Amino acid sequence: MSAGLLRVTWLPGDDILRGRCHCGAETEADDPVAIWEWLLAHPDHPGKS
Amino acid sequence: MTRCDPGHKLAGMTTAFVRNQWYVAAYGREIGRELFTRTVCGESILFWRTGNGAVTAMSDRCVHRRFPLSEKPSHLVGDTVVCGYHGFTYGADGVCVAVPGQTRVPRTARLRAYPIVEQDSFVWVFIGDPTLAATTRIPRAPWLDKPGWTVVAGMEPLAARASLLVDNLLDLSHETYLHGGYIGTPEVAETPITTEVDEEAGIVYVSRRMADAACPPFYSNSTGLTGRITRWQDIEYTPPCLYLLHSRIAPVGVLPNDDGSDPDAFHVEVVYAITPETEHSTHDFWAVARDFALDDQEVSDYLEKSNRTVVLQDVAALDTLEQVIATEPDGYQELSINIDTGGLAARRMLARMRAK
Ligand code: FES
Ligand SMILES: [Fe+2]
Repeated sequence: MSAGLLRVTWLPGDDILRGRCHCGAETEADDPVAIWEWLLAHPDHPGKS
Repeated sequence: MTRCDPGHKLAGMTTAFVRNQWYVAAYGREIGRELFTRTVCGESILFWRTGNGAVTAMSDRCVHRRFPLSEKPSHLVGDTVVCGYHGFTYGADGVCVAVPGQTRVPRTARLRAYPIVEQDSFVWVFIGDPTLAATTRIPRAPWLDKPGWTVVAGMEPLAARASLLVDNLLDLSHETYLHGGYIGTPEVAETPITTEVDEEAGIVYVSRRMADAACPPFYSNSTGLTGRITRWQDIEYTPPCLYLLHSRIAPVGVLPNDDGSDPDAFHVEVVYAITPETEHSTHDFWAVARDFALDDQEVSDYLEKSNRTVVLQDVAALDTLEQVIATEPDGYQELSINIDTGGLAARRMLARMRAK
């Protein structure tokens, strides 16, 4: 993955978004606002809920 | 279904322009030896071609009493523009070379000149500090001017802020509802999407790959495919102006070869240039390039008519939306769900560019 690449995958029918930061940290959330906030907090990603 | 965020403010809907960027001002074919004007990011710009074919761009307001130089009886004489009101005359660099009745031309008599690049069938203009133009990227849409591709294109005036068109194009699930019977089929809204943000390159990607989908009329009538299809929609948005939709259509199960060649698929490159005119209106440039039926005029006519119809469906919806939100008080709320992941990423990137 190139430096600076953030990825969010979503499977419709499943309500969960999966986010992956360029540092490798991953999270899940059920709302796109929350997922971008989490990704953009790099390197201070909040702990997984 | 998905829990939403009722508290999310519509902060991304600001109408402020992103400056110090290149914007598509026109198709090259629109500009010739007639004076041509277009407003970009609130700036009225005069365009014309010099005798040797170069496009030139300068302010469309005479420095004397601000008469629009695009307005008759202003006219070109060789490589100069003569103002139709009192005759101030300007060269291709915008510098005033003659004024009526006196030999001395005031030193400050010059029109603001704009950096221009003609590329990929577009005329790009730089809005902002011209010293930054050379080091600011111009995204490419090579299919619009390339052997092996046939293009249909147009431009529709949109009476809505540019951010509404960005939202619209970043979430193609609306095809199923707003464009049913043209390009929408049920699978578009039902298929997984992957959103990627490349922070360094400043690009937002949204990818939707339908393995087994109905073929909408837009593609069945142009490709001749009649059965179910494999349909890929790969969006590549380079804010603020250029949006690409790499569309791949093939019979179900037909994939590209390992070496990347893809002889059994149909490729369509859908290009939009999203150029703010004012804070509440936008130039909606659209083009459809294809790598099949290259000389088939019927296919060209069909794609041109169909795509324009689809664009006008969006225009009607967004014009209505602009009327609604323009009259609402600041800080009204909206609600985002999973389909908005790409649109939110684009808004954030635009906000960051605006703040620079
Ligand atoms: S307004 Fe143009 S010459 Fe007077
Ligand atoms: Fe649309």
